[in-house]
Amino acid sequence: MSPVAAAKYANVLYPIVNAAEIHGGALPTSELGVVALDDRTLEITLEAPTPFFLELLTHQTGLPVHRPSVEAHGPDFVRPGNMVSNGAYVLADFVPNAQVKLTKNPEFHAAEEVRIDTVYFYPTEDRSAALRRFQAGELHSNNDAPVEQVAWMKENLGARFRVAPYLGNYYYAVNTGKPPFDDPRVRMALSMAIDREFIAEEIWGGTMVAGYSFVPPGTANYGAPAIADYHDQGMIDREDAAVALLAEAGFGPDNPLAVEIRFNTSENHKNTALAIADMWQPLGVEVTLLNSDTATHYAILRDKGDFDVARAGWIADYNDPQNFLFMVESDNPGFNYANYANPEYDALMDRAAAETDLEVRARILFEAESLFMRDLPFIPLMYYGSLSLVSDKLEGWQDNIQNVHATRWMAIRE
Amino acid sequence: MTDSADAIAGRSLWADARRRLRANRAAMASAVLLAVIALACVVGPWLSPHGHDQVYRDYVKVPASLTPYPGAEAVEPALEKALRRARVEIEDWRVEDGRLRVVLIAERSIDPRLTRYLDRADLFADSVAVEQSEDGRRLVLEAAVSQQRFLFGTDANGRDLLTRTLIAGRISLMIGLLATGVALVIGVTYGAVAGYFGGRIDAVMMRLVDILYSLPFMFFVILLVVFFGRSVVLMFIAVGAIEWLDMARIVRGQTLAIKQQEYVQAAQALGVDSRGILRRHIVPNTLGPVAVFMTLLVPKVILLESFLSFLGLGVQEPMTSWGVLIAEGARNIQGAPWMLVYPSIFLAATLFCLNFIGDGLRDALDPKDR
Amino acid sequence: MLSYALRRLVGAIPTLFIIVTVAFFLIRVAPGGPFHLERPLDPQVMENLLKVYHLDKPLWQQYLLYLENLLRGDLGPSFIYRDFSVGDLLGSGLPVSLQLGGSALLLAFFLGTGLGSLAALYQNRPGDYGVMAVAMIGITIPNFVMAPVLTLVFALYLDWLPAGGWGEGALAHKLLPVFTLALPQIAVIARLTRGSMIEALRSNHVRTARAYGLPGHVVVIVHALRGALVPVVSYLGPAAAALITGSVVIETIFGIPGVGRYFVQGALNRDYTLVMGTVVMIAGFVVVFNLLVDLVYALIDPRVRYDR
Repeated sequence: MSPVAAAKYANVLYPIVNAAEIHGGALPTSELGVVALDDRTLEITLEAPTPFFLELLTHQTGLPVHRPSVEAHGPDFVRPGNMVSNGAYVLADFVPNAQVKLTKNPEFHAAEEVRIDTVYFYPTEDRSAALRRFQAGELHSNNDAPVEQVAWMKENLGARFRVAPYLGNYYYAVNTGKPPFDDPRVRMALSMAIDREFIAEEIWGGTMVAGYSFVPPGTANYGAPAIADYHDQGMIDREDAAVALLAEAGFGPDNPLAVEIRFNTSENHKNTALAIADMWQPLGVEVTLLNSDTATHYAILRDKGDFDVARAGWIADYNDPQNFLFMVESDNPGFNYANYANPEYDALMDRAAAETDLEVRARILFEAESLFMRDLPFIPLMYYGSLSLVSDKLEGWQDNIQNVHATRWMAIRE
Repeated sequence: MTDSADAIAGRSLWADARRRLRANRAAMASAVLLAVIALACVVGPWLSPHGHDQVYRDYVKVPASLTPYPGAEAVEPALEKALRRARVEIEDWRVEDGRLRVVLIAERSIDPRLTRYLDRADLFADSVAVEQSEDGRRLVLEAAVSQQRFLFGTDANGRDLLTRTLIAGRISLMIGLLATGVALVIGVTYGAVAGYFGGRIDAVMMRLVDILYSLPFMFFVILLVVFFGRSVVLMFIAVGAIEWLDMARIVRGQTLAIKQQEYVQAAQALGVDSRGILRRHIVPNTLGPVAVFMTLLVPKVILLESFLSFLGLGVQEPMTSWGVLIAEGARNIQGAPWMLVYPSIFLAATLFCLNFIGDGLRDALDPKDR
Repeated sequence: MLSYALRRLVGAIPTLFIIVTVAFFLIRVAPGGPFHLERPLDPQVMENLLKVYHLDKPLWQQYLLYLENLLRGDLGPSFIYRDFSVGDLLGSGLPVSLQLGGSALLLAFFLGTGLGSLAALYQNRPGDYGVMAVAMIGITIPNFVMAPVLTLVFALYLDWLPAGGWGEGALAHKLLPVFTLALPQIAVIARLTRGSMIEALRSNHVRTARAYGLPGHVVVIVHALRGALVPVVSYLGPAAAALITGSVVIETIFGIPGVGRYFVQGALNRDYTLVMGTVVMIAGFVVVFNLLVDLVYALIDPRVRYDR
């Protein structure tokens, strides 16, 4: 929590008493609401009842660090040989961009259950190259696969190519502060005209799922999310409704709406934007595309630069709808790309934060999400799917929504 | 041999060269082929039935084929897909003489406007409701099955690859020729001057080249791209501004050697001024390796542009270049190889032609080659 | 000659200084920073991060800080690879890239000049056409196409070589990357050699040598080749630069832990220190390499003089 440590995920643990103030430098770290009562008991005090706090602790910010090592080695405490692990594996070697090597930790409390002795992690940036290495038998698993070759992989790899739902949302942020995008009718029209099934199936090869809500279905502590009511309407009807909405807002053939879609460089983002531009054409919308590299793209979004519609994605840090809905709270400039400010929405989110009964809380969040889907500061497009290449020889790989696969549970079949 | 007699009759030297070039059959054939490709790229997209950015949602990544689409087996899935959201059941369908006849039934009265779903599909057009039962629950539609030819197949968005390849050629050729031209003019002048004058001038000029050389090319391009937005003009300025450095180096190297030749010393003794020597002796004699290097440069420029496209910094959509197409194709090698093969053939053919022309130029301009 | 070399080296220092300065300010001017990546950050987190890395100070102050550290040999921490300093990263990546690039350059030089000479000797006969056709392929096909194609053939279909990775420097892991990297340069050097060899073979001194009755291969190697190598040696500088650019693609596709990747990834991710470190390193390398090239010029062509 210390400002000097400048931890990127510090805000995940803000629910702890004084955490935000300490991180802002207003209080010393000793004021943090965490106390070790004795050698085996840790007491954490929270600002407000946070039903998903246990979930938060599973995030990497909740992992323990061996203090004497940090004191002895300083920043080098993460080097192989210095690093002390309480998990199933110990860091044996770390060559940047080459490999990370782990060996089995004999001190692990369930060491006899761990069946794989040595693990090598290789950074594979180029997914097509990774696919080739996987085919050549050099990799037992790869945590991503080239989306362009989905059809080929499904045909030739069978069960070795896995697609699983992933807790994330692929969306277009709309600059609600900039006319004409401050008109909710315009945003709704744009959203209705998008054929998400086509994008998910054809462009992303079925590795994404068409998304009509912001919170993905299956999120913990939540029921069915607030799905847009037009999700099962025919495309032509939706387009007609969209044209009508745009006409109401003052746009039509004699006053075409001009939209610029920004996206960061990637084949699929480009193909998605092209498809959506094509889908907005029948509405009489004139679309231009602007592609920039990732840093420029997010700099514009983060620093409140000028944009109309911009592509973004969000993978949840923890399994709770709040981790999606908090993004458009008005006091959250870092995440609120859309510049959305709705006091009603903020009020609902605050109420939900204070509510301890999970059922009631779920209903409040549902109301908030319904507001979201009515106002559409973000136009949700798809829910992420995780792609994995898993060898036949690898046992114990379970698909799960957070795409976490601990080697501790795996074994290699010869 | 190559002495002052040739220097005085400078004009006939070029005429000589032109004659030799014409006699070189490989070079002439390449020039013709190159002209054909260039013509195809300029005129082709206008003649093509497909727009270069026209998306066919039903024809995503279809292989190249001389026979028109759709094949007979593609009709039923397309029909089902088109009508999927319309909440109707297909009782029967038939295709005869390029016309589709489909019978639909549903729980409730069917809105005959759902012909628009059929029209939306790329396979069908001009659909009309032919018959409807009394209670509206049974509807018969007829539509024309539109034939499309995709000679090179389609890309990941369902756009015709042939048209895109041709239009990409426009950009690639333009970038190649113009950037090389820029590099040629700046590079030859700079290198010849530096090499000829030598000494301090050479040292300073080459120092500048060193500095510019060492600046990683990436920043320069990224920054230009970021400041001025992404335009094709910018692309060739950036690339040309990088490439002249190599040209200057080579010309300087050549000049250092040529400078010591007898005919240059003779000209100096005769009192010819520096500009004259540069223009008449140094530059024409460097043209041999320069011509060869130039014909290596155009391909290099085009490939450099493709490298930028690979990194995502190339030409913006919906414009495209061979580099972009090839980068896309390389990613799809195992699923849609035609996306790589056809643009590569065009690129390779163009580069082959340029190389033969370059060889021809070199042979023609080389005074020693008798 | 020695004094010339020394003068060049000393003269290179202000060059390096200018390069460092220009690069420093150029990279800072690009929008976005190392923390503007896919995952958004809480504003307080962002503020703390900027403070820790001194990115909140005015630009000239950051520049002076950087120079100070540079003189002490500290290239700074990497913003993206947060466990490592730039020195660590370059230290582990440089030997790899040198091996990769050095092997590729040598391969390109020897194979290129060899093939080019052969083509010149058998001018306009099948040998010539064969070599030139292969050269064409090398020039025409971009390396990011060649790499997957060769991998498919040699690693998947024939199963002779591994498909990727560095394997801690095993020879089998080096073959494909080095060859793919060198291929375009082999082609270019072959063509250059052929061109200048043809000229050299017709020149006076070669004819004289032949008239003396010297054996064929002596004529070719000792007399013709020396003169013919001038444009090739001129090209070595650009060749090295092309290898550096090409290594980015090769390292990415084959998963090789070299420095080329840092180059582009650093710029795209705005990892300022990494980018600066790479610039300094490459600038130094280029200056030294060009000096060597110029010295070799003088060695092979005694007509070349370096004026006062």
